[in-house]
Amino acid sequence: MSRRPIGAETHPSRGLDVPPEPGDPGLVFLAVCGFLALSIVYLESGAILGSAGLMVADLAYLVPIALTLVLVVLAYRRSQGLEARFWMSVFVLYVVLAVSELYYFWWLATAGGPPPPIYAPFQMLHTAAAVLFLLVLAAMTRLADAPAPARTRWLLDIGAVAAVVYVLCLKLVVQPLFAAVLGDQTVAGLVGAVYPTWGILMGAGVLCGPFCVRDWAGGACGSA
Amino acid sequence: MWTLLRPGLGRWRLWERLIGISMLIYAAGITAWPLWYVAFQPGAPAEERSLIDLVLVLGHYLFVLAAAHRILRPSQAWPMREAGPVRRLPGRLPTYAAIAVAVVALPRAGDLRRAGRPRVAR
Repeated sequence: MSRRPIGAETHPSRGLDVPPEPGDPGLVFLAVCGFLALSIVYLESGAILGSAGLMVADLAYLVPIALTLVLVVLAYRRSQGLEARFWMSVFVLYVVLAVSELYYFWWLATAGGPPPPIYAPFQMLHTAAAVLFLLVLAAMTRLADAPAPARTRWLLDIGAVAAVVYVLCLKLVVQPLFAAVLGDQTVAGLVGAVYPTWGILMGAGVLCGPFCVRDWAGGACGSA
Repeated sequence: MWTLLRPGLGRWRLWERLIGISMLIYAAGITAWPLWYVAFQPGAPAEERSLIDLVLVLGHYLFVLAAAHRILRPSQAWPMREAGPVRRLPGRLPTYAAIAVAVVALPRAGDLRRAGRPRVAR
C-alpha cells in the first residue's frame, strides 16, 4: 500500500528528475559581456576624481542589485511552495541590500569620501544582509520544511558556532589588522568581526549544507 | 569547490548551482572585508578600486544570472508534486468530550450497579 502525504501543501520529490538543460552559447556570451561591462565601469570610475567617481563605481553594485530585485519578483510569481518561499527570502535580502547601497549613494552625494563610519546605517544594513544570506541558505536546505524543534536546534547550533568563530576572528584577525588604523577602532573591530564570521559561516553552509545533501528527501550529508 | 564541481552535480539545476557559487564568492568577499576597511581609511596606502569590490559585484551578478535562468527555463522549477486535496481532520472537541464523559460515567455506572446488588456474605 502506498503512503500518501496528508495535509502537506506540496511534496518535494527527490533531486533525480532534473530535466536536461540545453546549452545556449549566446546567453553565456551575453552574461560574460555583462560582467565585463560592469567591471569596466567600476575600474574606469577611478579616473573620475572625488565622490563622483565613487558614485559611478557604486553603480556597479546598484545595477545588479536592481536587476536581481526585478527578476526575483518574476521568479517568485512563477514558482510555488518551497521555491516561492526561497525567492521571497532572496527578495527580502536584496531589498535590504538595495536600501543599503542607495543610502551609500546618498551619503557620497551629500558628504563625499569613503568610507562612512562603521556604525552608519550603510554598514548596519550590510551586516543585516549578511545574516539574511544565511536565511536564504537555510531556505535551500531541508530546514525549509523542518518542524519548529528542528529549526530551533539548527539555529542554536549555528549560533554556537558563530559565537566561537566571531571571537576567533576578532582576536586573531580583526584587532591586529585594525591596530594599524588611526583612532579608536574598538567599535569598528566589534562590527568588523561580524563580516568574516558570516563569510566563514556562509562558505561552510554552502559546502556542507544544501549542495552536500544528495537529494531533498535524503538523509545527512553524503548519504544516498 | 569539489562539492559544486563533482560528478553527479547534474542533479542540481543550473540556477541552483549559480546561487551556490554566488554565495561562495560573496562569502569570500565579506570574509576579506576587514582588509577593505583598512585599505579605505583616510591616509591608508590604497584608495584605489579594490579587487574585493569586484568579487562582491560578481557575487551579485551571478544572482542576476540565476534568477534570469530560472525565468527563461520554466522546466527548471523545483520539482513539486501536488499532494492532492488536503484532508481535513474532524474537530477534536467531540472526542475529548466523549472521553471525559466516559471517564466520569463508567465508575459512576459501576457504583450504581454495585449499589443495586444485594450484599452477599463471604
